[in-house]
Amino acid sequence: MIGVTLRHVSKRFGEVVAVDDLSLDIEPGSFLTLLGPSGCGKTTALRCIAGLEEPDEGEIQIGERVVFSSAEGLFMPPGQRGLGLVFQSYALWPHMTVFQNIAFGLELQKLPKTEISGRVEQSLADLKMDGMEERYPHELSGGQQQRVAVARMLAARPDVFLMDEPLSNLDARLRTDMRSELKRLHHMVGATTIYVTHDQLEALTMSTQIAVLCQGNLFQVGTPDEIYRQPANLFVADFIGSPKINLLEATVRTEDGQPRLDFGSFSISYPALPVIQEVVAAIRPEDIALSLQPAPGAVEFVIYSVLPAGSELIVQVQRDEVLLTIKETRRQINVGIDQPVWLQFDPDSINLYDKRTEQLLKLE
Amino acid sequence: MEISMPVPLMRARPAARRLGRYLTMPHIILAFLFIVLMFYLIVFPLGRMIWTSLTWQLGDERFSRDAQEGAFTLFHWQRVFASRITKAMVISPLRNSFVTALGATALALGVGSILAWLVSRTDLPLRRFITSVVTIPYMLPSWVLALSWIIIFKNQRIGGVRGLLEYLTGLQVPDWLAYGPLPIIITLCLHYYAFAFLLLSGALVSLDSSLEESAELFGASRWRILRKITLPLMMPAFLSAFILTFSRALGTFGTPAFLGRPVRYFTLPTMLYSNVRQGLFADGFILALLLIVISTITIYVNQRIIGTRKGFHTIAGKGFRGHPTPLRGWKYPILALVLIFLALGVFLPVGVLFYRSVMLYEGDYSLSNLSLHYWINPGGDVRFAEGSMGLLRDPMILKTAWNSIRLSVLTAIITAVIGILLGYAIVKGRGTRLSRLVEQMAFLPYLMPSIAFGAIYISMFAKPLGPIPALYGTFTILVLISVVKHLPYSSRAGVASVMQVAGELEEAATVVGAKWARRFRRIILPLSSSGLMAGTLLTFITTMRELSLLILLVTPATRVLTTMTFRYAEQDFEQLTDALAAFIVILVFAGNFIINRIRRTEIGAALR
Repeated sequence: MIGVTLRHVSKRFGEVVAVDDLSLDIEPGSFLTLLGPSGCGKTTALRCIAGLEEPDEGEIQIGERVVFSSAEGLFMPPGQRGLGLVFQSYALWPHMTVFQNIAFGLELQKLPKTEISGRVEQSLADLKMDGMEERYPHELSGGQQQRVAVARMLAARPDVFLMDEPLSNLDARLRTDMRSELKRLHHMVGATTIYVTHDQLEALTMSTQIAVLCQGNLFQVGTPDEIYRQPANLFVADFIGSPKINLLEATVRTEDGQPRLDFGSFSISYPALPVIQEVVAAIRPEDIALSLQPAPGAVEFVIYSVLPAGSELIVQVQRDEVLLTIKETRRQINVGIDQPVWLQFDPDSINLYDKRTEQLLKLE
Repeated sequence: MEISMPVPLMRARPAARRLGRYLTMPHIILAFLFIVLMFYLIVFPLGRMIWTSLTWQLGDERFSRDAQEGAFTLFHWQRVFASRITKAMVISPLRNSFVTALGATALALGVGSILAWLVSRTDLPLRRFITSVVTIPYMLPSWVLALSWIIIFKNQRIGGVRGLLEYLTGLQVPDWLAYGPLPIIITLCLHYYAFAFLLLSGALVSLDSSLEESAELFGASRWRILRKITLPLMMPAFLSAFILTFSRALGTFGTPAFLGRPVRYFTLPTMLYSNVRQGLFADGFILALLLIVISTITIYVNQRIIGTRKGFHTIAGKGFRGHPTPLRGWKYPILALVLIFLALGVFLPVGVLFYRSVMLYEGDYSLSNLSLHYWINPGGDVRFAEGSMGLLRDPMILKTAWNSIRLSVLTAIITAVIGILLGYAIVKGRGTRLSRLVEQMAFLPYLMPSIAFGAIYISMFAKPLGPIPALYGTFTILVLISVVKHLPYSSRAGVASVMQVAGELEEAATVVGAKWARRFRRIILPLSSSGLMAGTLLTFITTMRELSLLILLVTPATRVLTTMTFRYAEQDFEQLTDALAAFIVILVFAGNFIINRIRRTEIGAALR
């Protein structure tokens, strides 16, 4: 198993800085997702690792080998880096059969014919595409083409797997199926995988590590749980999670020696006292308890909209200028618009952010 | 009181009303109108031409005593295809046409593909400069290159006067170098390589780069990628370029006329012209039909090739993003070769043309012989060109120039308007048989080489037909044929423009009560017009340099600059020929310059 390291990698396209001083340590055997909105530089970073783009500065190391170094003027061509890449468009060669597509890379490795056909059959079987060897890409469905693209990468047995939004062209149902397939494959093969996507749910479900990028900058690296529970700044907090996290401006005050968060129209107690007074509180929709009766410590709101969705209920509630989204999974709740409800907050689950710098305030 | 109405009558009225509503829909009216018009302008003349070839004509008495004007006969067909003169009339010209067209196409494709690859896939310096220069020869009339060739390689034996090469070296230029198939092939190549270049670089650029990048990741060398991925994927585009170039080269008139006739080397188009000039209309028409059949076959084959691309979905959204192949040590030698080729193929011919137009005595290429005589002399000196006036002074030339400009402008405007109307009729009726019929009829002129088309119109308009007067010899017929020739392009452009508009944008106006005329004027026309602008100005340029389409239809009163040039060449007025050709070149360049300024479009994009 081989790890990948990026040190101070930058890439510019004319005036635009696509990747800005990116340093990342990808552990051997991990599944790291580069996550971010369009234009954040994740695909560029992947292509730099692959050698399809040459960074302007920095160093890239795969395993023990330094494949790129601006200081030493080193650039190893893509074909020698021992990587596999699945493109967003699959890039299956339309004039070749499935067999020929997969065999192409193997022929370059100068493997004997029997070995090649063995590997082709094996990789097709792993992707549940047995018997498709003689088909042409245009005769396959989108999902099947995608599997062939992955099989093609697998058969060549590269040290590192790279995937550039491979599932974004599939319909929702297929996407969820393929997610579990890819995760199983990673578990089976154990190769280091670098995955690019803008879908935060995909990142959360599949990765061992997530790197959140925005406009070329790395905002946070961590496990899915860390990213979800402790987003490093407001951007990450807002980007991760569905439905979106509630972000409310608040002022920190003390009352009888106890810290309180003052949201203007109401306030709640808080277990710690941050050094900054002007903060933004981040509250996950599932961390708010909804009650139809008044309760001690609960704040009265009014229902603004109700969106039932089968297994869960998304409710928006309003109090003066404050609008909150709540996710309710209990079956018994039956609410209507303009109905008063009472909310109870869980202060331990609320993260505070410096209003000015948008960074997470670490409190103990 | 019981009121009973007969049931069938009640059922008939809604149906009749529906039919009435259908027939008054604007795009249906337009469609029917166009079908009638195009039938009259394309199908009927074609039929008329076939009929003429199957009947005795005035003047046939000298060939056969059975000749009865107007009666059915197979005489002409026998004469052309199964008589003593078949070899000279059909077999030789056909063979020559194929030889020159194939040779020119192979060469043009070779040069064009190499240039296309160099420009879009390597790090050759000055790529943008080369791209803009490469397309220049395609802007010029193709026969201008033939004229330049004659200037350089003319030999005294046949031409009567020395060419530049003979002048400079004193050696006699052999006949096969000065005239005949070799010069024709080379000059045609120099014109069509730009066409091949545009088609192929367009295909190269739209190739999804991830197809080559994934091969690169597997470790394939550049050479292997070219061989196993790029070339196979380019095959359909390559074949298509071959066929389109071949079909155009086959039907070209000017170049074989200038370079072939002095040595009696005929191709089908020039043989056609000869026959018509001698009054042998039926024979000429049969040759025209032959040309049309060959052209139709090649285009059909081309459609089949594009159609059976085995679903090659090579056009991805992002096109080619990859990094170029480094040429390393070969960079500057290759650049030098390319620049030399451009100098010889583009700048030299035009330069030589301008140069000879300012030479006083023929055959004397020295600097002391330079004079603006042929441009500005007041006339009367019989030593030169029988006393003709200088180009810019001669009112006849200026009238001819005015004819050219008038023709081009009128054609451009009418073509644009018809294009939008046609587009509207086709798009609104999308999917119906009527719409498909209109689209296919508009495509018919594409199948006919220009010279054959001209022949069709001679037969058509020599005599009056019903309310339509005999148009032969009028300016109107020139406009008519130019507009009809452009129908395939203008309808396609019109369809593309209108497609973006005639949908919800028009429906929103319908819902608030706007009638068709208002909707067309206020919504469809303004929104479609920008797309048509580039095409309109392109029509202007192509009409300005049109020769083969008009050569059979002009009379002294309706001459245009291109046909005038041809006349001068026939009469061996060298300098005037060149001056006139140079004049056309200037006008074409001015037109193109205006295009680029107003619309910032490139001919390359519009041509595709």
